[in-house]
Order: sequence, then C-alpha cells, then structure tokens
Amino acid sequence: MPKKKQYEDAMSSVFDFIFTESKKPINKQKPVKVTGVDGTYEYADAIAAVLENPGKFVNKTTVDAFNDLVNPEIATVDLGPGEKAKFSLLNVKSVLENDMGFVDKAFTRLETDRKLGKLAWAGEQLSGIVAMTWAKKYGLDFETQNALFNMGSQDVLLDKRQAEKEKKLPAQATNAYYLEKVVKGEFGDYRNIPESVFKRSFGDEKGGQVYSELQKAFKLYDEKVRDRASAEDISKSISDLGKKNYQTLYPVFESHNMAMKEAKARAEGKEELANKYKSAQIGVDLFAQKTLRDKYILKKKDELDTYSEQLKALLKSNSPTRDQDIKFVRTKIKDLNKELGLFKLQERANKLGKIDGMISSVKGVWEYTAGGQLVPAILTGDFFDDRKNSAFHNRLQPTEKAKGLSGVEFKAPKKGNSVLEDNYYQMMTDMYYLTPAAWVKTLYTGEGFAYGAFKSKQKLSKLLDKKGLKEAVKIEDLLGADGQEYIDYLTQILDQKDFNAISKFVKNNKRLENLAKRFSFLSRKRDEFSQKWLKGKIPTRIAEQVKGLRNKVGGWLLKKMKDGPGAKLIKDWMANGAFKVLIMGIKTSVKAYLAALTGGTSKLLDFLVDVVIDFAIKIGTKIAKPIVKLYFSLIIISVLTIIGLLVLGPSLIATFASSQYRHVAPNEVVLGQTDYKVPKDGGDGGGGTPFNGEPLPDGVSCLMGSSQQYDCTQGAGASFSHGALPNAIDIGYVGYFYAPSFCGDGNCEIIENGDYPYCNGYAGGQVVFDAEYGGHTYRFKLVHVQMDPGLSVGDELGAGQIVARIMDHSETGSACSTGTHLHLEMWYDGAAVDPLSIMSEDSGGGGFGCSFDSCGN
Amino acid sequence: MKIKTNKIIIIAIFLVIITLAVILLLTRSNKKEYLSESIPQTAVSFSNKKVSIKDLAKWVEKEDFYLWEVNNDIKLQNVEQIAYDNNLKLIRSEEGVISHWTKDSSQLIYNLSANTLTVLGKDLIKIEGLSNVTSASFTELFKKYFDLDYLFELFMTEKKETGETVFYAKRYLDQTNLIEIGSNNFQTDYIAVKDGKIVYASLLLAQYQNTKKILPLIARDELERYINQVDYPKDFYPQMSILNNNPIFEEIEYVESEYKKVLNNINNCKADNISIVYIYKKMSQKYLTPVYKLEVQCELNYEGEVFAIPGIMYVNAIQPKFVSTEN
Repeated sequence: MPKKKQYEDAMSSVFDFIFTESKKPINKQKPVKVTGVDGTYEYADAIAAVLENPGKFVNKTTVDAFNDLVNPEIATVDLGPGEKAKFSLLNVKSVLENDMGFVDKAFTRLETDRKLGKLAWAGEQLSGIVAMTWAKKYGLDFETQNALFNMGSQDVLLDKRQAEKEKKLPAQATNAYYLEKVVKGEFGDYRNIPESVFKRSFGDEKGGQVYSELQKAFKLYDEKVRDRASAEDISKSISDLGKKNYQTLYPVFESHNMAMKEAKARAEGKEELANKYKSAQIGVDLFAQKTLRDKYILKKKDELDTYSEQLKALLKSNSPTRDQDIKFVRTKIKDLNKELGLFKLQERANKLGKIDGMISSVKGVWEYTAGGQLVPAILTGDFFDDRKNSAFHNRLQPTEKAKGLSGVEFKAPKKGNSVLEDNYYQMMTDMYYLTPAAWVKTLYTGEGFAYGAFKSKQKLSKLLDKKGLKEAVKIEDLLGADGQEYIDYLTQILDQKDFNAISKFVKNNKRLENLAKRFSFLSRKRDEFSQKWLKGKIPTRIAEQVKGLRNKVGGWLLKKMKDGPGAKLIKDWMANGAFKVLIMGIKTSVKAYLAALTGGTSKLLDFLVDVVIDFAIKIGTKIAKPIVKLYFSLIIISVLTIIGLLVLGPSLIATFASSQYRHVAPNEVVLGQTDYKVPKDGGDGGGGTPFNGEPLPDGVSCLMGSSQQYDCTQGAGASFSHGALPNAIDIGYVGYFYAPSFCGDGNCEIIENGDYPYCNGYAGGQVVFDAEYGGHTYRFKLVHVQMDPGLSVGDELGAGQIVARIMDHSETGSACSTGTHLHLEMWYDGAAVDPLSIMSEDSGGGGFGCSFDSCGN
Repeated sequence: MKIKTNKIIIIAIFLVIITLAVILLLTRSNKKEYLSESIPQTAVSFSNKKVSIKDLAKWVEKEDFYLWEVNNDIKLQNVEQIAYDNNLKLIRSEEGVISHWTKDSSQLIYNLSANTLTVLGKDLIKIEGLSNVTSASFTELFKKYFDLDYLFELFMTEKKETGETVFYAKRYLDQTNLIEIGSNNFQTDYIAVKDGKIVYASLLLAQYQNTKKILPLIARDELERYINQVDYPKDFYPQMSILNNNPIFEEIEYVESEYKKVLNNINNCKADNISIVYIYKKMSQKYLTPVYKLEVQCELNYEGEVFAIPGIMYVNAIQPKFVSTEN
C-alpha cells in the first residue's frame, strides 16, 4: 500500500479508534500499538498513552475537546456587559428544533451565572431590599421605596471596593437629580442655610462636608450661568458633580424629601400616612448614619427584651388582671417588632447570609477534597475553570489568560498575594498542562507550547536574576524584532557561558512559539470562519430589544444555517459522523497552511501532509507507567497542597469565605436541612415550552420571596416524575408562595383547593390560582402545599398576599418524592409553559425575577 | 287520734308531692329535643361517584346522635407557651388565620382557621417516659399542654423509612362517637416518635359543645333513593395506595389528565360496612353533624386491566328536610 494512503488510513483509524473504542466498556477496548516514538516531548508521551489506554483518557471531556475543534462559532449574541450567547455547530440540532428555546435557555443560564456572581455583594443589596419591602408594606409611594432601597444598601455608598457601577447608579443618579433641583432653587432653600445648621443636624464633621459640597455645587452653577452655558451643559456639569458627591449629599436630600411628604400628608389631614413618612424619614436618617442606627436598634431591643420578660412572667401569673396585662404587653411587643422590623430583618438576613456563605464555601472545598471531586476535576480541566471552581471567590482556581508572542492564548499562573499562593498557582498550572484536556487542546490551539515558551522565559528570568544580569539583559529585546542585533550586542558584554545560556533560551523559545503558532492554525481558521458570520449581521444587545426582534434574529440564524454554506458542513457532520469531518478539517487546514507557507505543488503538499500525519502517529510511547506514576503524583500533590493551604492559610480562607453570601429574603420561612434529600437525578429534562411574556409593572418580584437562589430539583419534562409534564418543576427550600404584586383589583382569584390526588399516598394539598395582568393570565398550580387559612375557593387575592405554605415532607409522607419541595405547574394564556422560564424571567419580559440554579444540578 | 290522722295526711301529701316531683324529673330527663330547624351540611361536599348500599349486611343501630357546635375558643396562649419554652421566634401572626414560629429547622404552625397545630421538630413537645405510645399518650399530651381532657382511639401505626414511627389517632367526641378529618388517614391527630422523642405531630385543638339537640337520621330506604343524586352531600376517598409499585400508575404520577381518567374509571362501588362518625374540617363549619361512613369496594378499569379499589365514602346522614342549602 502506498505510504501516503497508509498514513491517511492510519490517521483515520487513529481518530476512528478514539471515538469508537472509547464508547466500549474498558475491558473490551483494544489499544493501538504505537512504534517509532522519539520521546522528545512529555505531551507526545501522553498522547501515546492515550492511544494505548483509551479508557483512561478518552472520556467525555476529551471527546468534547475534539468536537470543539470543528465547532465554529456561527453567531454570538451580546446579552449585556461581558455576557454572550454563542450559537455554534454543536447546538445546531437544538436550534433547528426550537430556535427561540435556544435563546431563552441562554438567557436563563447567563442570568443564573450573573446572579451567582452577584453573591458577593448580595448582603448589601439585601439590606436595600428589606428597606424597600418595609416601605412597601406601609403603603408608601414608589419614590420612597426607592429611596429606602438606596439608603438601605448604605454599605454600597461607603464601600469603595465595589467595582460594579450599577450598584451605585441609583443613588448617584437620584442625587444628581436632586442636586440640579437644589442649585436651581426648586428643592428647598439650601443656598441660605448656614453651615452651623448643618453641623447641628449632622455633627461637626459631616455637617461641614455637606455644607462644603453644596457650596461647590452652587459655585459651579453660578459660574456656568454667568458664562451663559447651555442648559444642557449646566445639567451635565451638575449631574457629574452629583455623581461624585452622592455619598455626602444623597442622604440629606432623601431625608428632606421624606419630610416634605410628611408635611404634605399632614396638610391634607392624612395623619396616618404622615406618620409613616415620618418613620421613613427616621429610617433614611438612621441608614445614613450607622452609629445612630446601631444605638437606636440597641435601645429598641432592650425595650423588647423587657416586654418579653414581662410576658413570660404574666403567662405564669394568676393575677386577676392577667389577661388585660398580657394583651397590653403583646401589643407593645407587636409595635416594637414592627418598628424594629426593618432593621431586625436586615440584621438577620445579613447574618444568615454570611454564615450560610461561610458554610457553603467551606463545604465547597470539602466536597472537592473529601468528596473525591478534586482529582477528577483536575483531570477534566474543570478545576481550572473560573465558572466551575468558584469556591472562595475563585481563589483556588490557579490560572488566568495570557498571550504569547505568537499571539496564542494560554493559561498562565495567577499572581498571588503571598509566596505560598504564588507557589500553589504555579504548581497547579503546571498540573493543568499535564491533564488530558490540555493535551487535546494543545493539538489545535497550541496553548501547551505557548505555555512552554512562557515557562522558558520564567527560567531565563530566574537565571538572569541569579547572575545579577537582570538589568543588563532585557528579555523583551531578545525576543523582539531586533532580537538578533541584541544578541550580537550581548556578545560584547557577557561571558561565553552566559551567552550560550541565553542563546539556547532564545532558540528554544522561538521553537516553542512557532509550534504554538503552527498548532493554533486550526483554531484560528475556525475563528475566521466564525467571524465571517458575525460581521455586522447579528444585532447586539438582544436584552434591550423587543420580542419581535428576537424572533427576527432567531429566524435569520435558522435561515442562514439552513440555506447558507454552513448547511453543507452540517450535512457532512450529521451524515458522516464527527470524526470524519474532523479529519477532513485537519487535512484541509494543514494543506492550506503548508500551501501558504511554501506555495508548493500538490505533490509537495501531499508529502508534507504525510510528514505531519506521520509525526502525529510516530510519537513517544512509554506506555502506562509514567501515566500511572503521574496519577499518584497528582493525587498526592493536590491533597497536600489543599491541606497545606487549609493549615497554613486559615485567615485567608476566612477572608474569602466571608465574601460569599447566600441570603434570605425577609418574611421567608427557610426550611432547614431535614433527614430527607430530594433526589437530583431528575435532570434538566427539557421540552418545556419557552415563554414570551409582555412586561409586568415595576415592583413585581419573585413570588417565593425575592433574593434567595432557589434550588430547582427537577425540571420540566425530567425523567424522575415530570416525564409527561412540560410545565412542571420542583423547587426546594421554599417557605411560602405569594400572589403577584399586581393583584388587588379583582384580577387574582383562587380557583381550586383540595388534597392532591395524583400521587400514591397522601401528598398534601394543591392550590390553583389565576393572576391576570394586561390582558394576559398566569395560572399557578401549587402542589404539596397548604392553602393559607382564611382563604377559600373563589376568594380574590391582594398584592403580595400569602397564597400557600409549602408543607414539610413529614406532613405529607409521600409527595411523589422523598423531600420537601414545591411542585409548581404554570400556564400562560392557557398554554402550558416551563415555570422556570417564567419565574426566572425579569418583569420586563413578563416574569417574576426569581433566581434559580440549573434544574437537577 | 286527730293528731295521728293529720300526720298521716301530711305524710301522704308529702309522698305524693315527692312522687310527682320524681315523675316530673324522670319524665324531663327522658324528654328528647329534636332539631326543629334545618342546618347547613358543611362537613361533606358533593361527589358524583355512585355507590350501592343494597348489600350492606347491617345498618346503623338507631341511636340518638346529637348536633354539636364548633366552639370559637382557640388555644393561642398555650401554643405561645410552647413557642417561648423552645425559644422559637414568631415569624408570622394573623388573627384568625395563622401563627407561625420557627427556629432553625423547627416549626410550630397554628392554623387558626382549622384550629390545628402542626409541630415540626424534635422534642418541642414531650411526654415523659415515652416508650410505648398508646391512646393514653394522646390524652396525656392534651392535658399537659392544652388543659383539655379527651379520649382517643389509636387506630394505626406506620413505620417510616427515616426511622420514626407515626401513631394515628381519632378523638372521641363523646363516649361512643369518633371525630374524623376527611383527609389523609382520617385521623384527628398524629405523633411521630423516634428514640423515645416526638419528632413531629399534628394536633386538633378545636373544641366542641353538645347542643343536646338530636338529629333525625335518614332511613336506609330513603338514603338508597337519594344517595346517587347529583346534589346529595357525599365525599369519596379512594385508597389509591393499593396501586403503589404498579408500573402503570408510577408513570402517571402528577399527570392530572391521566389521573382524572383513573378516578373517572373507578365505578361499581359497593358499600360493605357502615358506621357513624362526625366529620370536622374547619372552624367556620359551625356544626359537627353525624355522617355515614361507608367502607366501599370499587372497580377500576384502566389500560385493559381491572383493579379492585377500596375506598371510604362520607355521606350525609341527616334527614334531608333538616339540611338547608345555605352555607
């Protein structure tokens, strides 16, 4: 058989083997014998070992890595800052089946990721939410709610560490708005208030600051007016200033605003409302000054304790006036709780969140080590992915992106805050490049070689440092365009030995960078292919666009895939199997590259292709021994490293653990851990009908309580018990279910209530209620619940009213599962829809803004 | 002689008076007050499931069944005491609706609308030296925590996979009649015990008073005429657990349309036993009335197979003319 054909066949059979054999049970896999290996590179050794022991290395991760090679990005939809939804060949099947479902899923997934990322500051946000809830409860207007929200998250105002602007935006924007009114005299007569008044109200230091900022604003305004600046220019200047001094002025303005509302209410004879605004103003003032607030809370707590003790004593007493006394004391306790409600809930929520966050962070590490997840995570590469290794604020994840001179991206070790951290990051990054996932990726991205070049640069830097030549020899110049000239210059200043070492480095570095570039050819070609699709065709910022446009985009994508050049590729892929396309792709790319390099004839090209393929096959083999040795080393090193970190760096852990919150919304019953575990083998399911809703009014929030991340334990259509239900999900750790905030106009009604009959055994109750808004009807079916006592079928629901309590598993005994959960089914305008999509959609899209983890994960 | 005669006359008159008084007393105590006006039947709904009572071997022996009223008293202070003793925090309190306390994973939920207390959590309520739970254990519990004196009938125990044993009881309304709640296993109370401690419980705290008015019951032949009419008060509880582990039914859990089909295909119900119970659902039902409890055997035709399904039916037992249609 001709050599070329032999090699081509060998290549085909290599990949064929990898994909086919890997699907068989390990004891039935047949290894391929590799001969003539030169053993130069450890990566080559490892690749040989792959071929010898497919079961060990060719797993889903590596197969996915291969698939990734011929999975060009067809389109990217920009969903917001740093967030994209990618459409590629691999998900073409799901898009063909349900194009809008793909986009919706992307939103849901990214929304979850985004909300996960927000955990770190959630404690502060929760304070704001609690404050706003309190205002809402007392029927205060939206502006007041907003003010209290901003004030309530007052740590945000003080925390300079916060990088995300959006958290400060509401306070900044509102302050800018007020400041413009103030300078124009439309909001109080601040211009004529002397400094002494501010000092009296806020204390010397704060009062002085407030006065000074105001004077600055007035001065700026007067100058602009004098210079006849345009109204727009004046507005912008004041606004810019307002965004800078919001920390000082915003609390003052909000307090003033509350006072004005109080006065207005009193003038209109609405005493109760006026009192509520007064309370809101106290709230605003207290939020603005932490020390004042703390003192106030302490004082009220003391009063509460006193009354509680009194009540205890009264319950045991036989006094003739016992009943009246008990009633009186109970009223006092109730009033105090109401007054303290806002602050107490904040405090509790923060505490719960911090404790929970600490527990979950430590648990995360424990699961990695004791749970046996660490080594598999390292081997599959998950450990080196920020999204999957997020314990302690990604501190255990050792790598960050870097680029070599070749332009090839690779994973470099992060910079730590201590020598221990630096060493840990370095060691773990080295480990990454010994994993199967990295080996496979190197074949088409070249990242392993780029990292090799990076390491050699590090080695040289150390050498130069050791020899005291760091100042004399510039590594960048060595590797730059005029590198040769620089080398020539170095012969004059270095001795022979040092010069040889440097020359060797340069040579090695160039070789590695070239290899990196060569092996990245395939991924570059793939990206170019992707770019052609992306150029100006796909509208960005889908999140800002209306439903119609989303449909348009989905339709366009679909059309392109069905009609355009991608269709052929899809056809080949689907008809002939992935690996054949892979081989075709590799061969085509290599030939094209070589043709570009050499401009040669087809015969030469063929020869060179043979050489390349030959190289791919004729690689090192030292069979399994070094790999097994590597496994043990990996395990030992990893465990020792983690233990070392835990032992040597407890304060480190404590610091990072406290930066993660898992928070609880106010008024929510959190069902703690029981002996029962809801099985998570239901999986993601799928088949849920996507949801496209009309916007709901502002203020609509999660119907299970606002800010907790909910545990979706079984998705729509999942196999455990939702196989025939495209509109049902199971949610763990829910306390109560509430009516939407737009209820109250006779638009929400209880339709059904009774024992749930559709499980074998007692499963608690089911409640069905409808909620109508804007001509659309949401139907909710809650199962394993107890309808709120006092409600009956036919009753109308008010805004935020409690509809049902989720029963504990011990109350139901069956509940079609083994754990406490809410089974939720939903319909929208009569059509069954996936509750996950509605409940997690934000109000702008007709949803309720709940936060979920992925179903079944 | 004259004095002796007077004495005799006085004694005779005295004796007559006493006799009359005794006769009067005896007669009064035997006088039965029957219900004179109609009352709403709030204990039972309207099921369209047909049933045959022809084959009943015995009927309820005619007795006087009284009308009871649901008392408006609630045991909030007692429940508060339990909460305080266990350092539970009040998280929700709405008059006439609910009071809810929690601490960690423990919960105390007082449903004021139904006047039932759900206790979730180990050792929130205790019975000293609890080794063997009997009906007396329930009596002791109610006495200890709520100062209520009731008798119970322990009718079922269930060992759970998680290790606790659940004891189900029904409360005696009077010497002979039981109260049932038409749900779950029809118990009024249950307690779950593990390692000698109560780990969760559900307790009925509602109180009732006897109006002393006798309710005339519907006779058998009259009931046979009315029982399958659409508007005759009736509740049907098929015992679907008999279909547990049957693969046909495992697949249709939660699928309402299929289960409705199953329920609609349960037919040919025949009663084989009858008794009288009092059904309680919630405070607003106002009255506790006697209800016929029928143990029935039905047939289910599904997917070409026939299954025997036992069930319970509660049927209005009061003479229809005394049942008003108002609620």
